[in-house]
Amino acid sequence: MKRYGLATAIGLVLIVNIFVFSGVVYNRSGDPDSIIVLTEREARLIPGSKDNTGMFLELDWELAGFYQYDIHRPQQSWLDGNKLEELGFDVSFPLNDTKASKFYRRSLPMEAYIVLEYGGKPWELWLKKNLDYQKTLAEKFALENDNTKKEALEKNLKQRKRLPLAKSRLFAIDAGNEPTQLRRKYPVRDRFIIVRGKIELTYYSGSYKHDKNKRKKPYLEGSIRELFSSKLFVPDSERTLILNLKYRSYLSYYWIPKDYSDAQLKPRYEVELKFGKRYEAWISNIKPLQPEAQS
Amino acid sequence: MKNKEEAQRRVDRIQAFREELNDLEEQKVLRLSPEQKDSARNFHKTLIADLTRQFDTDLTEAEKKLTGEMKVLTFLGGTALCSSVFFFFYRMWGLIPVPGQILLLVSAPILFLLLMEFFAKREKTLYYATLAGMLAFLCFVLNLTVLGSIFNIAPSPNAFLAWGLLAVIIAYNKSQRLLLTVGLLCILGYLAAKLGSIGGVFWFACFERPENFILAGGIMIALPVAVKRLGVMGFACIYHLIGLLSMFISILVLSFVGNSSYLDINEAIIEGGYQLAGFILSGLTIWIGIRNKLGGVQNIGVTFFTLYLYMKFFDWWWELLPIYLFFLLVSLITIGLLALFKRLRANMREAI
Repeated sequence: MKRYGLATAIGLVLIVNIFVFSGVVYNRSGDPDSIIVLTEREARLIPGSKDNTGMFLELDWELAGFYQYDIHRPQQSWLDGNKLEELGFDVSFPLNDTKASKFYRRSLPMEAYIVLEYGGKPWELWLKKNLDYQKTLAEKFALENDNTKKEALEKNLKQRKRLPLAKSRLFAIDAGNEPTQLRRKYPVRDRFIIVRGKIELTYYSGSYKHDKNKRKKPYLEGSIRELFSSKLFVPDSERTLILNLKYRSYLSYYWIPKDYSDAQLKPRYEVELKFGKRYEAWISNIKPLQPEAQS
Repeated sequence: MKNKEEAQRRVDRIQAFREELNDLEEQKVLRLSPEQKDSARNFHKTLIADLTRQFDTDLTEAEKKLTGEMKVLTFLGGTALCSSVFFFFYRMWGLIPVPGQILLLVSAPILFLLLMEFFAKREKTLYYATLAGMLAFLCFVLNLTVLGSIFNIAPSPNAFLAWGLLAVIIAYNKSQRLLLTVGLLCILGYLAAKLGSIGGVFWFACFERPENFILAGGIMIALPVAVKRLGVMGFACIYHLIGLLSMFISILVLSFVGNSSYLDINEAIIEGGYQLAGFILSGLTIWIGIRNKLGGVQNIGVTFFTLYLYMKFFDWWWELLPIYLFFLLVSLITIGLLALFKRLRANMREAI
């Protein structure tokens, strides 16, 4: 080991790097699995710091459905007990059993392939639900006598009216263990992207006090904790446009700073993403967006 | 002499021999002739000079203390330098084109490996070579981490294996215990992650099931037994240390948090089972340590046996007894054990 130690160490460094680059070349070889053009709404700038000059965009997405402020998610998402079983989770323990909570708390997160849809039916559904929710808020506002509650309702209503201008139109709609099967099910490659991620299982006992979803009966629901390809490195060839853009510190799915004008909510750039054979993404192009080209 | 440790032990024996000879002469028990004294003195003088030239051995207690302090400084300096390189890279990388970043990332560990070799040829003490080795390792960590960010590669435990292997190679090449420890910890992490990800489970969740670390620890202990060459330069004790710590800490966690076990049975049974396993395993470790004259192994066994025992005492009596009585009881039991070990030691001496 002493005689050949240096050569072995250098050899290891080179071999590992060759292995890594081979994976990158393979991922980017041939036709990409999908090519999609997103806007700033879906691929947000991550704030930099003086100690890290690397630049990244992050995919902004959510589970298909509709979140409200007071009742978190009234309808069960597609990531229900059946889907979780399909992904490999053990969902055999009876939900009504008193030991169900303990059983399901032991569940470990699983890796899976997740399908994201850009626009399409999930976005149309969200817009419709958002309008319905605005009507509900307006009705409550009209009937409310307490000034504090009235003020809160008014704030919420204003938010809901403006959210369609700035919210991401990227939704997670499905998951599976076989990406080729998912691609056959969702063949439109510029609207559906497949990424790897981590899914966790949560058991809800249905007790009204603790369940934000307020469904009043026990159920299982999955959550996508992480997408492995969601943080996108901006190559130096594409940095120029967004280098001087100010970071926008808003936009959870239901809050916009009130001092932002509608113009400030509009996306400033669009980004072309390619997803390769290993479902790892890269930025191929970033273009500025003209104000009149907003949707 | 194969290494510095052996050389230092020889020098220490020579010093001890000289001191003992002086005492024997003062007490008129033994007296060497002037010729014999000169012969021994000259032989030892030449030998010590050779060993000092080859291995930079310490000749006095003061030198030993200074050497110890220099090792600490090397560690602290190395850690600070590694941190500086790490943060410097993150500060500058956005200003460098991607091909330049890749060139820097791949070449940095290789350059520091060459620098390590350069220093090693020129200094016996290997302090600067150690620093260069640590930097080579750190740059390799940076290499894979940053490439993962640039190319958006999904996180994988395989990086731990690569890092671990490099640290181990450098450690064997330059007799670096610190790098061997770091390398083996990386490999331990890799083994536990691979075991934990069986069945599609996300690999990072291996920490939620301590049994992964019991198995990985067992593999770590078995390695120098299966491959004898891994135990050279006294490195076997580091494998034992890491393996045993991994196993004992995992058993400790499972003794109190049975819910984190892979076993889907009553928690109380799991916890009781692992508590018993902890006592048996630590007792076995002490026995193996004594039998094979492995002081480090014996010490770990004793430490964890004592820890498990005290935690049982706490479990049984903390709620039942007033605090002063609890500590009195624990101290009486400890004194009782002390008396028992003293008796055992006396019996062992009589047997000799």
